[in-house]
Amino acid sequence: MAHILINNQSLENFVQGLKISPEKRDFLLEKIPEMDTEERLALFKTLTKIYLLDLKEKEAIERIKKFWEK
Amino acid sequence: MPNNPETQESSSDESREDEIQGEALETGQEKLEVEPDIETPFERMTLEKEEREIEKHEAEIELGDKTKEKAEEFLKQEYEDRHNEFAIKWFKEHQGELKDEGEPIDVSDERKIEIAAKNKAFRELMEKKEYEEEWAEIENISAIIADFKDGRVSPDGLSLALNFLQGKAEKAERDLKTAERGQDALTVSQKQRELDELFPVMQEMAEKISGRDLRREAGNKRTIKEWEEVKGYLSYKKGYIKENYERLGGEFKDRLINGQIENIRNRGDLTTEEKEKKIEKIKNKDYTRELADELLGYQIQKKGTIRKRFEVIDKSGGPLIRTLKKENEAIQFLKEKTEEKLKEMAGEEWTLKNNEREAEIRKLVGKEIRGLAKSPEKAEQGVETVYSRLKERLISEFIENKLKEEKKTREDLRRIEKEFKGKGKNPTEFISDVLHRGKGLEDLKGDLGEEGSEDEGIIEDFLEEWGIPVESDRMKKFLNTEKGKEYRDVVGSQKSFLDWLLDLIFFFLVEEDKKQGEEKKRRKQGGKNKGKDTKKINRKK
Repeated sequence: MAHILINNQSLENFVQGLKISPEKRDFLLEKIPEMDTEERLALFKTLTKIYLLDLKEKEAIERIKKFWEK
Repeated sequence: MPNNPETQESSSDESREDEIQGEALETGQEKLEVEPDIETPFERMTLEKEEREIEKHEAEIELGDKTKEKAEEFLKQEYEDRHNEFAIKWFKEHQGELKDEGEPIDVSDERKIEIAAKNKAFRELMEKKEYEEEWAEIENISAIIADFKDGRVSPDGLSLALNFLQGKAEKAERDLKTAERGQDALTVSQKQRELDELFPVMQEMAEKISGRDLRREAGNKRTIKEWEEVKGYLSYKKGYIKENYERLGGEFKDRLINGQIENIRNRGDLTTEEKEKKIEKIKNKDYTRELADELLGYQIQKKGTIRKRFEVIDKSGGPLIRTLKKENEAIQFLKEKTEEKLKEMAGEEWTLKNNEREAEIRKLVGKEIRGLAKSPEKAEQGVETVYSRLKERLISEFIENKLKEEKKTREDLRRIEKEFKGKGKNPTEFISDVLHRGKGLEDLKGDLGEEGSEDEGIIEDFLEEWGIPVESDRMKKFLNTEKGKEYRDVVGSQKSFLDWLLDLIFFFLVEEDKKQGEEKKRRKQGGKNKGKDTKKINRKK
């Protein structure tokens, strides 16, 4: 049951929710159904890092907007 | 003068830090002691730990050491200048009161700054609403300095730093023009040096933000290409010398003989044919002696009557440069020396052209830097570019290092399909819950593994709500691993705790896989043995 975070639908949801290039997104979506547990765990970790970068990017852009508002 | 921020004290006592800040602001001697955006020592510690553990090498931009050092130096200077400018402004605003208190008014800027600091002007800068904007800018500079100091420069920090440095460069340009008009040679050289030092720093920063090679782009621009063609410029100095030193010799020769040719053309006593013959003769004459005289001041002098020798001397009649037995040898010597001189001159000519080209390129690069530094759209674009590069790199690394190359068998694919089908969740919601301590995680105490710990139950409930069952013996096993033991250190931070929790979940998964694998093996083994036994029985029969 612990597989719930790395099953096909969860990983697809994860990939769809990130700000990445369409090429890389399509590639990952195509590969997910064939990935074994080891590959899925590695992908989950990578996607987590990307998600955190997305958050940082958002914060960075807000900081820039705030700075130029002055 | 403010102290270097590196001398900054780190105290775990918040009130002591306030005291230090207060003292620094009151004396005006330690302005850089003011902390950037960090509220408490604990938060700072947590933030640093998070950066170290999860995001290092990912959300930071690598600048060359020299650039980093110089940029930090310029920003510190800017930080100091802003304080000083504020102090002078404050002094002007409070002149009346200061005069009433008996302070001298007609004093140098340095003294004005001291008086302002003594009268707590910097505290007003921090606290008064009317100075809010100025203080916000100073805080921004301070935060960026802290970034540079820690060696982790964020893309947005880099954009803001570039904006500050652009402002500084524009001010230096204005000062330079004023100094040039006033013929103030010292200031001219100081400002020129400042601009020369700022330029490569800003160029590297702009290139890192935009991911572009601004110099190469400028060098490839049509204006530069046209300029190169008109000026006959070559990128390689050696090639330029090889192609141009003879031209330079020809130009000198032309200058020598042009007068003679002109005279022949003007002679009325000669026919056209005779004139051409004479001109041809002049053109074909060996001008080595004349060229050597013109370029080097070298001349040949014949010495002796019985034992002739030829001396090469300089224009003034000495000193002696070379003694040779035959006149031809002396001519050959002059030829070699003249060629050397012409090559040296061609090299100087290349350097001049190259400097001109550099100035043209610098103008173009400067224009691009200005655009990147002053436009919020380009700053945003820059941030997006940097993050996009980082994200693409992470995916490529996953594809190269983690995605298996060998094709899976049909049986493998069937098993994978069966194992990972079904309704899923949204992992970003899970991560958000962990980062923001939702669904009970806000009650974590940091006592996991201890007698009477509540954390185990909290984590168990949280994971089970997400459909991830927790087995007590597996949890114990994980807590004995290196990662598991880090719990107390990471529980107080956002991202490191997320990292820890993911490792816990993955540990459960791997353990589950192992268990299933072993069971499968046992079943298979059992089946084989069963078969063997049957065969034996059959044979006996």
